[in-house]
Amino acid sequence: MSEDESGIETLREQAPPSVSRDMGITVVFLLFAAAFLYLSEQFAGNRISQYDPGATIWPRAALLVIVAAGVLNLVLLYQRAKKNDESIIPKLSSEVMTLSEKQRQYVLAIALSVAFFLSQDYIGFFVSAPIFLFVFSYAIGYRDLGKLTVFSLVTGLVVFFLFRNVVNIALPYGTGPFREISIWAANLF
Amino acid sequence: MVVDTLASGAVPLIIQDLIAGFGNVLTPFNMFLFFIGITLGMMSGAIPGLNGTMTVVLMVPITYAMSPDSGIMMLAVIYAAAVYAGSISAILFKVPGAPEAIMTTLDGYPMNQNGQLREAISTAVFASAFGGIVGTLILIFFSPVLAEFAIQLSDPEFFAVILLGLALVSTIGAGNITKATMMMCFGLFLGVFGFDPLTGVPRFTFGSNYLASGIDFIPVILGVFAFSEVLKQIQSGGSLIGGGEGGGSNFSEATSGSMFPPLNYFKRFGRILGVNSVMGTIIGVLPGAGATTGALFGYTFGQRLVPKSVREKFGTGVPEGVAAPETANNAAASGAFVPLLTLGIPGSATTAVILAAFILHGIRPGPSLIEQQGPLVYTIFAALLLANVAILLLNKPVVRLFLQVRHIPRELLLSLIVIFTVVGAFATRNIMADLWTMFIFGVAAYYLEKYNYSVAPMVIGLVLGPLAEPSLRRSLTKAGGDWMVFFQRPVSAVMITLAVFTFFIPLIMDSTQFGDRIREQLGLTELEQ
Repeated sequence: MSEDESGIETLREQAPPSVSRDMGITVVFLLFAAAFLYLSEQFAGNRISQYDPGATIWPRAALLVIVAAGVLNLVLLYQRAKKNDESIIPKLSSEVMTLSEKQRQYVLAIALSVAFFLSQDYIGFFVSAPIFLFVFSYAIGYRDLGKLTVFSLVTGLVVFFLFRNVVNIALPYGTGPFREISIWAANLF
Repeated sequence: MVVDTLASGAVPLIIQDLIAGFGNVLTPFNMFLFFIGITLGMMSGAIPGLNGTMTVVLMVPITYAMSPDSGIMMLAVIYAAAVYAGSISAILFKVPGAPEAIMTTLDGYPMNQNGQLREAISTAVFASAFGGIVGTLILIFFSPVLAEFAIQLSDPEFFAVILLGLALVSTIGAGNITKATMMMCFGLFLGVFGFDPLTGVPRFTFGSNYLASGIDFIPVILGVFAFSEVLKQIQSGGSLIGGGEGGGSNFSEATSGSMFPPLNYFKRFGRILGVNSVMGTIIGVLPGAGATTGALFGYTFGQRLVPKSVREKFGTGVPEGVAAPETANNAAASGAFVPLLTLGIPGSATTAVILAAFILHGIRPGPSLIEQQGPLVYTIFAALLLANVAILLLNKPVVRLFLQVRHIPRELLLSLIVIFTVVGAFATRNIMADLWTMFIFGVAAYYLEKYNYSVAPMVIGLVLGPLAEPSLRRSLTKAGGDWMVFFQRPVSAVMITLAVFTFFIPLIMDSTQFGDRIREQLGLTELEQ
């Protein structure tokens, strides 16, 4: 990455959060609260006695406070935007979006994590953990393949045996041949 | 009543029994078990996915082969050490090793990032040991009094205490009270998923078995603190251990010098240590509360005990933000032994397991336990005191051991943290969906924090919500639906009044011009400056 690009990235990180996105988050909370307030009607009236305020009182109280605090927050954000002369409508850029190296690593990290979680049911922890450690570390910038291989294998094995054999927590075994491999490994010690 | 206890000539007898207890702990075999307990406790506290309760459960069968004195002493030591050790990984990697360390993460990790690793760790050690020792002394001298107090507390008081805690939470997002309130209520709402605690009716489960079992707070904690930090580090390219490349001088400072933290900490954190150790013990005495709740209250109380200039910096890396929860959680861990030993009621999950160990050894804790099993009880008391002293003494070697991770390249460390968050999220309930909960909350927290939506109030709401709702509803049911029940009992009336003031006064003072005018008229603005 050139010095200019790095400078732009630093400035981007230091820039104050935009009001429009901030308001967007509050709106999401408001919509969430409104939806669940509506859904809470499903179990209204369930109570253990006539004096019990019922199964809806607590969730509704929490949701109503979210609505009240959310509306107040929107007002405060609007006032801030007005005071600082900021636009509350998000600006749409016609430029083609390009990802920096760090952003690419970030997207990859999320994708690899999702793949790792999904693999647990099929491949199991014993096989997938060393692979994940290797690929994840490589994706976020580690390049010494020899050390990375040793690290991935040793760490995966130690964590598996620590939890499976020492503290008796069965990490996912996977299915089919992967399950057989995991059970064989667990029985080694 | 307290005066009666002290004036009845019981103190010399207690001290005599305590000395006998120390004598019992200091036998070679018990000292061996003591160090095993400290080591296991520290390991289980510091490694995400393990915790003190789990380790105590695993060690219960081993105590079969021992005398009750030795076995139960070892379990108590594991518990005390685990509560402290959770702070190590919270400060070093923003990964709370145990739920009790959630609040320590908020200021401990930023202190590390600001190059104050040594101060963060020594504060945590000092506050933990102080809270633990004061809590144990209160346990030794006032157990019967506290047990009587605990029996008199009912649902209205319990609800009022939690409400006060929730009101204090609103101050965590200083400057963003509306956002903090939203997040706290979101956390409270997350706690309602699953079966209604009183009627058993499913709430918001949408036919899902996972949602029927409720949203566990451990995957949420690991997601919002640890996984989101991994994403942040990848985006920013920062270093997990502050103070230069791999820790640099920060590391040498953290592991050199005196074995003890500086003595000026007594003066600096005087109010926090005094109030939070007593408050933490009382929270621990409440059945069901435990050290995690103690830490939550400790942090929020701590904010109220410091000048506004320091309070506003809570969450950015101030030592007071580490001292407050660490004092309270260790005091609460000791306090949880009060109902266990005097009433046979466990004050927390770990003491419930220790209760099982008592029963397995043919001992039933209750009001006559101290009379009938004096040597056993005082051996436990002595071991708890020694465990807290050991935390102080073993601090440097333990930290030195943990800081070896600075030699691990950042990329490998980040991948290792992801592995531990996965194992930690899965290990609690063995449910795959907990991994997704951890992931979703981690990614969400990364974006929420960018826009100053503090995630700590959400976590506190999630922990306290399931405790508050049944208390509220049982109170009203017993009182025939009369809401005045909360004001007819003195303790709950005071707590609720305090909660209302605590919530609304900062809101008015911090968010409005009216508050600015009042502060100006009272001359508070100059004082704050």
